[in-house]
Amino acid sequence: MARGENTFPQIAGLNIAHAVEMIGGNYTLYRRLIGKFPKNHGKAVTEIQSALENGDRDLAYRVAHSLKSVAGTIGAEELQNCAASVVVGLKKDMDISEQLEETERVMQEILQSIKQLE
Amino acid sequence: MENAARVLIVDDTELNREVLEGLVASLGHQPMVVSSGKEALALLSKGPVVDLILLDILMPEVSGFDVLQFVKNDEHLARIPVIMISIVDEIESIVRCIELGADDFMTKPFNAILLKARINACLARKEFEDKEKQFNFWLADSYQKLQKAEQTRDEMFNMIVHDMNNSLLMLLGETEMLAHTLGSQMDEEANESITNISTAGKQIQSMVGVILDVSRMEKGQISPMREEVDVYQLVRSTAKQYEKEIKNHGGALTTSFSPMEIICQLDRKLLQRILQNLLTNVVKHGLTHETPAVHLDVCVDDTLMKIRVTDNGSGIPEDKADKIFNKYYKINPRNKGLGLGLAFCKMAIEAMGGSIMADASTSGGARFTLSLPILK
Repeated sequence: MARGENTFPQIAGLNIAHAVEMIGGNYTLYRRLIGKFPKNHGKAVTEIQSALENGDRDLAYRVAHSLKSVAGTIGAEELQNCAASVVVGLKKDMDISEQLEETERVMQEILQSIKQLE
Repeated sequence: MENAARVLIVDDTELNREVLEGLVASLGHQPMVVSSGKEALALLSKGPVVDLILLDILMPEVSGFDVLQFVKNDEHLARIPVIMISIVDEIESIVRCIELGADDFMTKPFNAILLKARINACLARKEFEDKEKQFNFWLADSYQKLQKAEQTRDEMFNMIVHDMNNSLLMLLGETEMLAHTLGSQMDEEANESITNISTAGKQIQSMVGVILDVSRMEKGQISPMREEVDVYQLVRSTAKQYEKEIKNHGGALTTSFSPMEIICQLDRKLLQRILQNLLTNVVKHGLTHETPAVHLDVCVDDTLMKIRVTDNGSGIPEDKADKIFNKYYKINPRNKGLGLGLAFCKMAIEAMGGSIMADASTSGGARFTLSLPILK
């Protein structure tokens, strides 16, 4: 696909135009990132949950943190916000089951959207 | 930027590594990518193999802080600029990074334009610092070389002058012999020739003498001695050496002494050389009046002994007054001599713990005042 101005597909949950701009206008790179997202981050919520079950708060925090930044990078703004609330919850040592549920829901939507792009 | 910089990217998230790698490459630089703090440390322990580090803070085992600390504490790595990357809500991390010496800070998600600007700024600054460091080395080195060259030149110069002095002594000695043994047998013209040779020889000797004096003074080879000296007697006998010459110019040399005798501890030879130089100076420049009058007086002012040499010549021009004690300085460049006499006087009198001053005499000529503390 060409690096055009408004040639980006409109996909639910992904602000592609903004994301491409933020990484330097390289749409090819964006496609590559999107392609790797499901494998690398699709199971993030599950990872956070098992980490908490194992008492490894540091790992949980890192995964949430990572998800937040990666979601932002690919333009998944709602997912980014969900991840942000998980991060805050973990920091304040709150019960984050609700936030995790919500995050998982949005995650599934995103994964669907990405499948459509392929 | 002429050269491609080697940029180390340290991040445990693949997506971030990809983005950064792409950005760095698009700037024309060479990305080097590692996925953990541990790998970063391993790479960096080889030495300064990178020009810039993009460092994620939050990483398992070895964090960004650990890597940052390692870099800033290593003398070979400390100058590599480090840009820390993290999420915006961690104010504590930002502060910690600044305290640890990070050069800049970037937030995720990435803003390519901002990152590019920061990378370029860091690299430009480092390049400038490197050039400055190089320049400083070169400067220090050049200065050392210059000092050495000056030293060598001075040493050679002084050796030559020393040898010249020896030949001069021979020349003058032989001329005296000639005058002594054959003087009565030669006619007036021949005698005059010998006198002229002698005079010219003595002038050279005077110049050579003052060069050697100054050089020895500068090398610190003259440390003033102490012996009991009758100051009036010294001044009188030294002045007498110049009486004849001043008379030849149609002038007169007078002396006056304050009533109390001054006998104190000082370096006799050195003070004599100072007086001789001052009087030579007067003879050269202070006898311009129709009837030249040179006066030497010695007096005591509290704890200081003052020796003054005054003339009624044309005096010292006001705008040149502060320069006359400089080495090689001559009021009129065409004057004979080297301009070293007064410089020597200043060096020598100061080495003796005294001072010299020049101002105008009452008759408008020059007045030189030597001040020396009286040591018994």
